[in-house]
Amino acid sequence: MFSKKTVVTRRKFLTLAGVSAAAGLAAACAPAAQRPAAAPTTAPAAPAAEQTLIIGRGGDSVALDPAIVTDGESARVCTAIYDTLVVLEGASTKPVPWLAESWTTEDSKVWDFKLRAGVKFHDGEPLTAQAVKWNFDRWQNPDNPFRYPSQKYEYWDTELSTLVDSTEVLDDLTFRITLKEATVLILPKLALFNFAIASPKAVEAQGESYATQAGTPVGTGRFKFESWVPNDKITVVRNDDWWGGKVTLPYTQMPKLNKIIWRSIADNNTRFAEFQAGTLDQADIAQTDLVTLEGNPNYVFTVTPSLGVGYIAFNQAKPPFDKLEVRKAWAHAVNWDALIETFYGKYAQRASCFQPPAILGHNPNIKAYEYNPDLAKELLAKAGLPDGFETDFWYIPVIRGYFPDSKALSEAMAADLAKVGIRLNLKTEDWGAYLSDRKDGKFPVWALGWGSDNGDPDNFIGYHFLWNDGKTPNVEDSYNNPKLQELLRKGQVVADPVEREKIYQEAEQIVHDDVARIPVAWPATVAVDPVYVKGRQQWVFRDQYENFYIEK
Amino acid sequence: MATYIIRRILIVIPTLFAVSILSFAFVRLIPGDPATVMLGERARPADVEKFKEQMGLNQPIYVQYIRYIEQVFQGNLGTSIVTRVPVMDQLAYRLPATIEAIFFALLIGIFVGVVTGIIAALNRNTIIDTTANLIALTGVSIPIFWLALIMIYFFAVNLKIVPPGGRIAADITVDRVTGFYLIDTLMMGRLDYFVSAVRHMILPAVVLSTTVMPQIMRLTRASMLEVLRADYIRTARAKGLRQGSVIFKHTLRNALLPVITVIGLQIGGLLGGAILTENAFSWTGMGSWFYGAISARDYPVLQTAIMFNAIIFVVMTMLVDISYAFIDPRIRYK
Repeated sequence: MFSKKTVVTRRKFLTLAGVSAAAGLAAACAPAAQRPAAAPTTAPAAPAAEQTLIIGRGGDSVALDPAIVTDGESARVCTAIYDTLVVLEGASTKPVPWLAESWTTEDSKVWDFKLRAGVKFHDGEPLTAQAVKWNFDRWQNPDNPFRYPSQKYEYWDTELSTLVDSTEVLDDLTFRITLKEATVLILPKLALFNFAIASPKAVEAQGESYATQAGTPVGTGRFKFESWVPNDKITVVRNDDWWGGKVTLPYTQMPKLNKIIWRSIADNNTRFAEFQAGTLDQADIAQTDLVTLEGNPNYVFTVTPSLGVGYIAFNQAKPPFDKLEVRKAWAHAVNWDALIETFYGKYAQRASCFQPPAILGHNPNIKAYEYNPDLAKELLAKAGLPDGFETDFWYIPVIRGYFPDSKALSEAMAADLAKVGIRLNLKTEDWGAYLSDRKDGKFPVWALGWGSDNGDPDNFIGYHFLWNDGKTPNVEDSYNNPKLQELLRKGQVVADPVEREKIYQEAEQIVHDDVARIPVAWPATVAVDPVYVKGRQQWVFRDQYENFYIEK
Repeated sequence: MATYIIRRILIVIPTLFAVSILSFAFVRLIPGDPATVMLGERARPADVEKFKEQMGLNQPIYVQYIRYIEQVFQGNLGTSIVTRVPVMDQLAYRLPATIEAIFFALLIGIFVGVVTGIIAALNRNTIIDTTANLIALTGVSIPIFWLALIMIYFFAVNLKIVPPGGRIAADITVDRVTGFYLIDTLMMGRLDYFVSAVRHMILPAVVLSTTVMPQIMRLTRASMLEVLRADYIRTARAKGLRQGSVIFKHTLRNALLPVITVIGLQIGGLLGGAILTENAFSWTGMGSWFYGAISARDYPVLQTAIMFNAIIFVVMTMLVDISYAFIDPRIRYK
């Protein structure tokens, strides 16, 4: 599931100046044929030696109560401690049973989930439909006694509150969710780490301090919480009673690790040094540092296409970007393939359209804008700008997988654009200011990117182009195409995956034709493990702590 | 004398008041607002507004300031915007780590600084003196985070003789009593834990000590040279005292007086060095905390950071001034 990937992209990336690399970030939409080699259920019994995996990361978790956190560093620990009703399969984004053993629905509006029998929380309490409903009540009801003013149920509010109407207990192991409208989106959303099931007894007993630095998180997951030294480390130990060890699903198995320790090491250089010194078994490493390990026989690289895009965006309220020809000229004036070769190496792929192939609605018929400076000049002339023009261009001040060196890439792009008469003043500013100024429509053209939260197109192309207020174009780009709005809104309610794919493919075509954004690159996710850390699978949206083991 | 001391203490109040106003304003002048940093690129404007309201960020700055001062007088330093943990709690948690590091850095800095200072003074204008001076000068000039990185790569990554960072091995959990790991591990009765804590202390303490060592060395040398020329030293030599007795009993004692006062002032500098050093060694003290707060625009923490440093500096200066009153009669009678 989206766990880390999600949040790292979305929130943590804001504060973390490093490209998250290793540590469970596997990611990659491997082709369907490449099913997770069913992580050998027959694997040798856990090695006798104590298996401890030490992971280095840039920041500490905020809290370990999945309902109230949104950051990647909380997510990656929560996914080890808790289970959700549904998970995404791993190599694909297909929802598969987890705490819910199966589900049925007749109209996609009323969903009955059959819970797995015999599952226990770490505090010994049984998992029942009542416990699940208790969790839903806490998320859904603002007056629930176990919610506190300091807590924000952001994921519920943004992801499920608009979908879920009511929930009920049918019997001890059957739980019903009634939706406001028929939709299949409920399944991938239930797989979000935020909707993991916590022990009601533990939450009630601990009150507001539940799963904070002063509390103890209690789930049903593969690992049990052991200790948290704030801003230093969080330790979890294997839950030997984990239900997944007792069932035979191709993607569950008892973890071989006895213990996982996440260490918070804010400085990228220090973290990298610790990784090289061998005091960290996995670490989030800046891409610029990763390169230095290439060819080193002590490390194994796993490069897989991720679910993100780096793009150039136009503010159509600022002339001359209101003219389609100008935007198109820009797209054709730059030798994007050469830039990608130079600035991403093998860690990215030229983006031919906005959404990468693994996202539903990706349109394979769209051809990337070809490099054609003459055409660009023609287009400019058509727009009444035969001598070109001058504009500010904003590049991101931070390192991101989708723009590993935004400044250098922008300089190279500026050189290409200068040849057709478009003169750039390169600018940047502090990241926080950058994001808000862009949102406020202060930039005429800028660079930015996106990483999918859940693999759904509504969270990708929909997130970028649907108008925030539903009525007027977003201030950031003033992009106004009613047809696109209609399609994207339809995509939110249509349940049939085939029809849905068509809708989003059409939306992709519109964005391409309008040159609303120039998609530059689909970045890859790179994981580096020391040779002694084994078991990594090519999974997209799910942590894989159960797969790792150490063999020195 | 009493008047002097009281007057000196009273000056501290307006100073700190001025620092609090300036720092409050400066912290908020850093571009980028915490709401955007916290809520992320896709935050809805309504959420941003709600967040600002909750954190009091939408009030005029002077109202925010008055509210802040009110809270401070109630012993409340606010709540971190990022972790939502009271700043006071974090302070109590992180202070021991920094004190531990600074204490050992000072020990090393003083010991090495004084010893090399003496050696340089006694071998004035020889190759030994020049080398010592050169090393001291290099020590002042090298950026501390760079030195830290070099040391980490050389001693931890390549030679693997000391750990590269952290306060103790990752798989050890220390029962916190005092917060000082060297004490807590001993209280647990675990010598192996204690050894781990000591090993982790070596690099940070050595690196941090370089912020004070050169000054101490150069001052010791200069002060020694001055005292060595004094009449009473010539008298002592003329009496036929042994060299050791002349150096340690007569010269060093007198030469160290100015050094001691300078050490007091250096503690402020050590705090500055600690920010970079702690960050480089992932040392969970005040420094790394403040460092993180800067990038997160965590106003309450930043504010505390600036005030904390200002208070240490002002108080240290005050103590040094007062100590002068004891040492130097001319100040006392002014």
